[in-house]
Amino acid sequence: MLNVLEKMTEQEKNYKKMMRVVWITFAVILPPTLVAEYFIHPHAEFVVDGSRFFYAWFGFASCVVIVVVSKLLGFVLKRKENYYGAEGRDV
Amino acid sequence: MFDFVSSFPPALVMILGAFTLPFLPVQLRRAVVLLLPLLTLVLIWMVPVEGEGLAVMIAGFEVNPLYVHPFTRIFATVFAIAAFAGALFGLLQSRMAEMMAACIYAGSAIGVTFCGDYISLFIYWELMAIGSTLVIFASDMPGSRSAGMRYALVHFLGGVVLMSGIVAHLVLSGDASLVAFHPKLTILFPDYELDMHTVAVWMILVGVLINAAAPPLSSWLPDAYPKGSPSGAVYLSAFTTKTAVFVLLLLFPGVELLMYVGMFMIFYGIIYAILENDMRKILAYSVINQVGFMVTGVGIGTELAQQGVALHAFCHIIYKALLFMSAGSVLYMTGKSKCSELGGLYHSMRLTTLCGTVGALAISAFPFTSGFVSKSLISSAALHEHMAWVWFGLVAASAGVFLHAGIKFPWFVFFQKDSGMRPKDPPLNMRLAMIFFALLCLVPAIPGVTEVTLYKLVPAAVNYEAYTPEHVVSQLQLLLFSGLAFFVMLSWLKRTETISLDFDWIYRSFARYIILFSALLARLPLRLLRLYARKGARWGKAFLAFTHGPGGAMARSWSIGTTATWTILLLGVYLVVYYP
Repeated sequence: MLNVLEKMTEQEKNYKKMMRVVWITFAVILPPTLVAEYFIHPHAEFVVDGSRFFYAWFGFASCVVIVVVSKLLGFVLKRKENYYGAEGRDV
Repeated sequence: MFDFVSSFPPALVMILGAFTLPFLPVQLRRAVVLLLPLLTLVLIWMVPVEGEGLAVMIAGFEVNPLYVHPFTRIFATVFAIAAFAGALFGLLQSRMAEMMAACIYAGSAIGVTFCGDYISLFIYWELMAIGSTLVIFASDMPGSRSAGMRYALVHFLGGVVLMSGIVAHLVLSGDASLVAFHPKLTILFPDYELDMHTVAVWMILVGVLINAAAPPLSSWLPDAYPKGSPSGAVYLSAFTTKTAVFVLLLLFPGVELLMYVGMFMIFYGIIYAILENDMRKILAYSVINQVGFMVTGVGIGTELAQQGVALHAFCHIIYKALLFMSAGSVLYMTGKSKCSELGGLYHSMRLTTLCGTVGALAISAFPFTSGFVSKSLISSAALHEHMAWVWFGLVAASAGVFLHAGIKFPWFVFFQKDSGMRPKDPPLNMRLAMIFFALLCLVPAIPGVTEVTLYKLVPAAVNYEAYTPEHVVSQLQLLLFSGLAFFVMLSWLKRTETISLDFDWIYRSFARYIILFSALLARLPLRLLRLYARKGARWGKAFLAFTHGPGGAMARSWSIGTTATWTILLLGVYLVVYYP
């Protein structure tokens, strides 16, 4: 029992450590991609894509919209795994 | 000798080779399974581009199963490579039935790319449906039999629609050769009459689109592919949808409708992949998403777009097979496929994690991976044509791809919350197949190498430069900020142990209600009859009981006095009536 508990806490520790790595990585690599935009000369085809940091905010916003839409659709579409009968059953 | 070799249909090597497999001893069989795709690859490149092929007249139509279209080589090449890597991946693990089916499947897919006419196209097309169905049947995953049955039904339906279209087209045009339709013929233009020929072309389009997993018959793919065995799914991910893309590219370039269909497929794939919990179903939905990019490219239809479609199909087959291999390795080693049961596998499956991540980066078109140099051709084709909404859609979709496949897949399978499982990397042959395809995702994308390898596979010169500073920076911004969005909204993306209803609900659930309802309806007259017959019998019984039952007027016992009175009365009446 104690062994299981220890293992659980170790797993949670692993997860926390990993999340810290993730956030640090983002903190390190995101600013340079924004700064780099000052050294290149983008030519916009349409109006909006010439705006400052277009790809950054457009990418972020698209993902937010996609996640929100799928979350809403999920309320309608999600069903229990055995909806079509017992899982993996050959009819 | 050379003539004979160069005029031997490459497809037949694998199809005929498949039937020798059961007669070979195990070791030799394994060698042959690996050699067949390589031999096919050699033959593919020996077929002369301007050759006459094997034209023969059948029933007044010229049939040519050995014709080189502009994009034949690139598609046939990648099919052969995928067949080789699939065979290597399942070399020691897959059943013989699966090996045979996969050889037939891959061979007929290659056959499709060499078809010069509708008749041979249809034959290879159906052979492909049979081969792929057998691959699913050969799987030992639970539920694969019924999934294979549903898969077969959808594909044979598609085959029937395609065949009806082909027959009508042949009869009306008298020509069997595969030539692109004028875009005008196939789209609902108000000034164009809907004649019989248009109907035929529509049927051909619909038949092909069913194989491309276009809506509404799209859910066969995520229904069936995850039911394949770990190695079977690698084959399945490669051929069917991409041959459909090849045929669309051949027959329907520039058909505007395909842009809308493609766009729908792109976002449909993303959203369902986000909702999904099964890792191989995530990948299956992402196949639809990627094929959506290609279908959109076919819809744009310019030379750059067509080259982009062909190159994207090439790269896509490789990184998607790689993703299915890494997922297959996880499944093979842990026996689990649900994201909610996986996680933390990077501790022990180092190589699988690495290869899976390479595949995930390539599908997201990360700079210095193959997706980067192929997908951008399609979006810049939209840019060249000033198609604003298509371009914005494609950019948003690229962000969405990173979300559902680029991060979600590796994160929930290899990282996230530690599941505590510590499986090893898979056996050597699986590892080799993954390394081979991971290299194929990276090496052709090295700046400078792309132009002399990948871009040489399409006939005309590719007028596009992928590695401009602007493109690299903008793509990095797009993807990394999408990644940020993923982690910011991680709690919203939490895995739930659910499935999501898709179009197959119509034939898996709704149809059952229809059948139950119609059965009820059909039995209604008889039921009513029985009901009333019963009621009638009850009423009859009650009446008889009233008249003849105990105390009933007809069964009552009468006293002597009453009887005498009645007798006197009757005799009296008799006397009165008959008195002369």
